[in-house]
Amino acid sequence: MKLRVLLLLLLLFNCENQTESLPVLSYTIIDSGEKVNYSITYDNFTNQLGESFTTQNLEQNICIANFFFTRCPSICPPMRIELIDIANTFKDDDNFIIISHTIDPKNDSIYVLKNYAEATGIPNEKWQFLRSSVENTKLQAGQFMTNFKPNEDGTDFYHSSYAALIDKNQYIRGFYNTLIPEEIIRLKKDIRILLD
Amino acid sequence: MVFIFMKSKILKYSVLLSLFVTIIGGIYYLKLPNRHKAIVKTQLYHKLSLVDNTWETYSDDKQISLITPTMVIDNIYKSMEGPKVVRSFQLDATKDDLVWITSFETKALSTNEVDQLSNDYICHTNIDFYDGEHYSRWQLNNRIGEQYPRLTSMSNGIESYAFPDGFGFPVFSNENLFLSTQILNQNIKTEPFSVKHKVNIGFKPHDTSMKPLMSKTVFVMLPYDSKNPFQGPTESNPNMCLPLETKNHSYINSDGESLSGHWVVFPGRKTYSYDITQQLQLTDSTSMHHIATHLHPFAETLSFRDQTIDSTLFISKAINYKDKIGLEKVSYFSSKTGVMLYPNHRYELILQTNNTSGINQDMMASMFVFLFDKEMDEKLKIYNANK
Repeated sequence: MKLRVLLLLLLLFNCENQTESLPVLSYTIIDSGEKVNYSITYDNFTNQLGESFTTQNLEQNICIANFFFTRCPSICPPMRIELIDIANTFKDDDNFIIISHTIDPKNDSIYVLKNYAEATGIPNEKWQFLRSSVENTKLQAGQFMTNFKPNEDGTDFYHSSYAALIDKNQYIRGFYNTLIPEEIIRLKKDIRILLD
Repeated sequence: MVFIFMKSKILKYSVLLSLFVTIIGGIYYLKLPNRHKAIVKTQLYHKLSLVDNTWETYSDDKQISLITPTMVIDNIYKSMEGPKVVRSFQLDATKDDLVWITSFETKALSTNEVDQLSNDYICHTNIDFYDGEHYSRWQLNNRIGEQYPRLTSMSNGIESYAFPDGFGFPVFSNENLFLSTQILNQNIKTEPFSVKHKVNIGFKPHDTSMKPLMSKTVFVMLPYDSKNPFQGPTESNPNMCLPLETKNHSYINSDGESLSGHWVVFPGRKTYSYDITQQLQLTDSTSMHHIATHLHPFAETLSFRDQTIDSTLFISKAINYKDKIGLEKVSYFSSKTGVMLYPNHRYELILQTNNTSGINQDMMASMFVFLFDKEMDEKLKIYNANK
């Protein structure tokens, strides 16, 4: 019995340490030179079902977030494949969700996002495709420490292939380049750390 | 009896299917270019644990050392062809201290991780940062995505260097950095052998007297005919290059012209030039304090020139080995005083090559240019005042 308690304590201690080992990365150095932590918030976003998505949807959830658009000819298709794989890996973890923000709300209507979401085969509650105005999405990208802008020839946007990992308190705990297999392995490991 | 018959039928079809898949897979593999074969082989070696597939990381408050998994050399691997490994890392994930990256070193090691091998087995070691995370922290979001976030690169002939005293690249110790390192083997055709790379990155604790540098990558690009890319230069199009391939290191400029940063050099001497004003993206005058150069064998010099005042600011000299293919040394620029660059000036790179091998070789010519970062310096002054 004593041995079991000891093992349990060791396991708990280990989990605690692992969670602690993922640093809080969501902070900025404000104009006064101070470091200020911030948590991710949502305002005026709608998901693929036309439902409002707010900060409350994040609470007590572990999530990964990225930026994409459905007509993307470059990095989004391979990112999508990796995110489908991650969604399937954590399909039984109810408090894990994926959030993808469209950077092209002009073309990515709710209808388009719904069809795009259905094609992934992942349940809507597991993978939220969010839409808002370009200005609001740019502000959201700022919270996720990235940005996007249209290319000069109009065929594509600059947008990052990185996904951010968010903990239950809406702090960013990691960044992962989703186009690199080794980074996907690291992302899955870190999701598991936060879930456990 | 029926069961045994079915079982043998299943076995028969399984064997046939396996054979079919193996043959198709084998044909597909044999048709792959050397570079892709190396990727497949390295993945197999590591996934099947046929060689050491782990990274070793050692760090203290001055340096982080990363030792790669084992990479197997079983062939001649020219630039960009060899086995490579990648990983992200943080200088110290447990701390959130501002530190200054000041030096870089890469070397080839034996699999015992102690004995140093020839640097002929180093193609390049690239260090990138995640520009989103890096610039957002300092509220410099307008810089995200402006250029590829490469901090620097070390390569054959220029395996280590340090910024001039008092200069560095400021990062927080838990910031995500990214390492990619690749094998080179221009000469040795023997039985397969194994190599590791060891990468050392030196850093210093924050000091208010330090001056921040920003990295810009400038490189020679040459036009090619996108309709007939592998035709190379012709009598009617003598300025066209023969690109090594049209996927990686290929670009389209604002005039719709296809350009390659990795091309074939024919036997003999040749001089190439390329206007790098747009690559520099200078918005203000600033000083240049460090240049690390990336060249391939048979390059002789790469010059950084101010076209506007017709002045050569730096000539990077490459010493080629006499008895084998490879670069013994490539010189770099490092100066506390620096050289001024101006946004209304035009700048160019001039590359001189001398392919003495008698056969076609491949070429790249880049400079990782480090400029005093005025905007970051202002941010740091405020940060220091608050401290």
